[in-house]
Amino acid sequence: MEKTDLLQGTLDMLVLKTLQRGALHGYDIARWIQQTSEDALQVEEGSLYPALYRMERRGWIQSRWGVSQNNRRARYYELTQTGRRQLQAESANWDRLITAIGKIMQTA
Amino acid sequence: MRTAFRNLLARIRALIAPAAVQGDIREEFQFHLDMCIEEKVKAGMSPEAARLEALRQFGNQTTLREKGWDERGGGFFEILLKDLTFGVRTLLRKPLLTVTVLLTLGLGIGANTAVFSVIDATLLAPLPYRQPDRLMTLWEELTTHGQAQVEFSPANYLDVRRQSRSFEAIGAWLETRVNLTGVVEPQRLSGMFISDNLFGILGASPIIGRGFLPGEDQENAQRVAILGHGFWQRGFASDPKIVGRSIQLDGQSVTVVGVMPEYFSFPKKAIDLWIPLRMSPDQASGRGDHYIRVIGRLRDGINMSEAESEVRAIAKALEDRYPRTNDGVKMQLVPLEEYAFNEERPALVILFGAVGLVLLIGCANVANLLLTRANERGREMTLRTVLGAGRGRLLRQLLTESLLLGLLGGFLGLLLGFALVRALGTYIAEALPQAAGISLDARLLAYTLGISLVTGLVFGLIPALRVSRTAPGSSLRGLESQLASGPGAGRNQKILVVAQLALSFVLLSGAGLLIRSFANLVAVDPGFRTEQVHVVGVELPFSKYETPEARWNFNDQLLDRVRSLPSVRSAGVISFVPLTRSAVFFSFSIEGRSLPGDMDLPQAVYRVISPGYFETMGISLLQGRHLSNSDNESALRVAIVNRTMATRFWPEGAIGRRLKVGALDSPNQWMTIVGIVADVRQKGLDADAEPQLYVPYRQDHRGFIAPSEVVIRSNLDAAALAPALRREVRAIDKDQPISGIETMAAVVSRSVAGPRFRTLLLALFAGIALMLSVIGIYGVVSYGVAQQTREIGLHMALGAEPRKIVGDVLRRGLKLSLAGVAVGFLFAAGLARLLRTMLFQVEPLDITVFVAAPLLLLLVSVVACYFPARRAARLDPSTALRIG
Repeated sequence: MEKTDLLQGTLDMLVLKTLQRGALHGYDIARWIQQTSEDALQVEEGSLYPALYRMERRGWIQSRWGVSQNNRRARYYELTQTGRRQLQAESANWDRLITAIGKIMQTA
Repeated sequence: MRTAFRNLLARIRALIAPAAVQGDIREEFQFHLDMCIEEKVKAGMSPEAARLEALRQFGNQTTLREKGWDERGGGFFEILLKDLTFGVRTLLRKPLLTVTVLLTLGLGIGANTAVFSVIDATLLAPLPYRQPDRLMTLWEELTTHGQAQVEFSPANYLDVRRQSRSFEAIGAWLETRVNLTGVVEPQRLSGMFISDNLFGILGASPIIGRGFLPGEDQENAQRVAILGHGFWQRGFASDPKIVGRSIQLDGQSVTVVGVMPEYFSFPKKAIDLWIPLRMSPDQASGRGDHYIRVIGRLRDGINMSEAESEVRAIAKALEDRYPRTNDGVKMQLVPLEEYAFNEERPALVILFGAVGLVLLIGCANVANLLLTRANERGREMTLRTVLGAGRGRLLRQLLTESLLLGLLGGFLGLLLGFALVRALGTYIAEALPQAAGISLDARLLAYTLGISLVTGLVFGLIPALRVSRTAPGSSLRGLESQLASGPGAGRNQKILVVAQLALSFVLLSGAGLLIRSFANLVAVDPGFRTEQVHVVGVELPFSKYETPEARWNFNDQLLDRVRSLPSVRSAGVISFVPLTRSAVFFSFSIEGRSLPGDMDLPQAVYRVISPGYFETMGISLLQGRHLSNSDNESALRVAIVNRTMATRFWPEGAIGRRLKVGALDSPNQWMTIVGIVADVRQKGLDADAEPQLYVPYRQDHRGFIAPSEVVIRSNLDAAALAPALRREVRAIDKDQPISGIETMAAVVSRSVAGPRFRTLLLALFAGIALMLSVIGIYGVVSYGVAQQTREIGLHMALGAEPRKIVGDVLRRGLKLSLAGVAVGFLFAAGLARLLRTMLFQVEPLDITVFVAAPLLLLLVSVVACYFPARRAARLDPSTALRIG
């Protein structure tokens, strides 16, 4: 299957969506996005972290140190109230965008 | 809000424990990599291959760590610190530029700080009373005399006080002077008569003792007084046991019942002591004389216009009831806050606008300098862009630099502002006594900090945006030349310079108008001699010098003694000299012309004088004779009138005509006019002389108009004269104080303190503006010449004469300044209209000013452009062509 670069700005939305499931550490977030998209989305894994930090700075997510399944110290991220609202706004936006683009593509 | 706080904490954590934050990031990355490797090994990869694959998938760790560090708050202070260090280094590398920028900002911000400090201490300082916005002053309006805002007559005041329901309370005040006696050194004090409720209305209370009790302003009440803080400190060494002590005022025992706090003053100036306002039944029923000032506090829920309409209705009823005295007497309200500074406000607002313009001009200069430098820094910026700095990052760095400049300039401005306030101290104190104690308060600091930051943003944003717009793709070399010669490079600068020149023109013309006006003002002949004429106050207490004879005797003795002093050429006494206190107007009847019952009598300024007054003051006798010692109580009643009075009422000739004070049927005696003297200015140099009437002091029995000032012609200076005078006065009455002695020149000068203050400041600011604009136009033209070195070199190589080169450059400068003048003219005309009320014998569009100001501007522009022009003409073509 061909791989697609992530649209700019959509990484934030995907992360927020992923975190809807609960607190996760960075590695799980990356894996989950890849697996769910059946490896269609190409995420440079490291770039996830600056994005996480930025979202934390904006107050969308919060983090704490916890213990992973294999008993190692790992940093867990979870959604805040602001984050939930942000996710709603972004999904709505996304839906509109997709519909609009879909309409244009069908006319051609 | 919480997020902002958490982020600040994160930034601080990154600042003080960078290792911990970086360790966190490192650990997080490592965890990710380890998980990834583990998974791949499980899937069957060799550990080495798995490690390489995981690293590849992860991306550039160093860059990511840095990005992460920035996001984690590490960036903020680090970048700030880096930018600041870099900024300081850049500034130090160009010391001349830096000093110019800082001085420009310092001057601009300093001028603003100075003017704001004055405004802060006056207009902005809340009046020190409870809910000052609910306090209203009440005034009468004598429509038949065309006089607005005059004091109340006692009976009208009492009626309004009784009848009005719009006010919680209405009270009155009346300034006076009293003598502190029974002490070694008698003193003349500034006092204020107040109604018993005045402090209550203001919401002020004494720091020691009590306020006046209800009824203490009744005639038979015990005599009490409340001291002002300054007088308590000065006169009684802040004696805490002062309350209950008895002091002598004008020879009468008065009990001190309280001391007011230091900050308290009403309405504006410091008062030594407050005394209950007592009125005899006679006084209290008077409606003809207007001398009581009235204030009230609005009742809750009543607004000003409701109160005013009620007061107007009361006035109307009084008109109907007392037509003889109250015909045409209306009433009006003026909020105390407005009344307190109604004279100073317009000038201060204009000065504030003026310094705003100066700062704008300064900003334009600095923006220009920075634009020039920005062009030079194009290469640096390009390099940084190529190395990966984002536009935001560059913008931030440049703004940090300009904010740094702004703050440094602001600090300098604060110092310069205070230096300016100190240098102008005496002018400020004369023109605005309330601003005398200017100090650094939080509001002033906040203001200066605020304008420093705004200034930094304003002048920094234009060049910063320009630089950071640089396209990163263009080659270093190409970009540089594009920046240097692009069509936009010079345009911004030119617009800024034209704007500067326009603003300078506005200020120059404004200053020109005020200077012309002030010159006209001081050129006015006051009508009396000002040099070598001294005036000193000797106010006899009414209680001690109760009879006219006692006062006459004192003044006779005083004049004899003063005239016999060796240095004294002549001397006289008068009730009040011109240009000082508000005059006393008396209405009068003219023999053979006024009719009995005539209400609408003419009025004249009434003074009693001794022989020698006119001679001492140098007021020339135009017709008739001077007064002599034989014009006494047993002789025929005589009077001297001024020229205005003579020509207005007796155009056929005034000498020998008779008039009397008051109505035709009043018991006052007829006075025969024996002389006509020249006019003197009474209210101010800018006010025309009104009818003035002089009467020999031995022919007037009225206590309140008795002589209280001595004029002395002597070539000694005041300091030398004062001890001798004090000695002579004390030889007559050891309890009698004298006030400070000054020359009539000082009196005249003080009367124009306000105009002098604003003229001086506006001229100063216009001067600064002109200087800044000259620097601005010089900079732009120089820059243009430097840019066109190659082109000029080519022209010269092709045979252009140096004269033509000079001409070209000068023309370019002249074009800019002409554009500035053209644009500025519109605004200048607007400002001139605002100044209209402050102008004396000058039209707002005065032709001299509006020719001289542009000429001056053009002239200095040409001079400023001459230097770069000469430099251009001296270029060596062969060198010039090789540059660039």
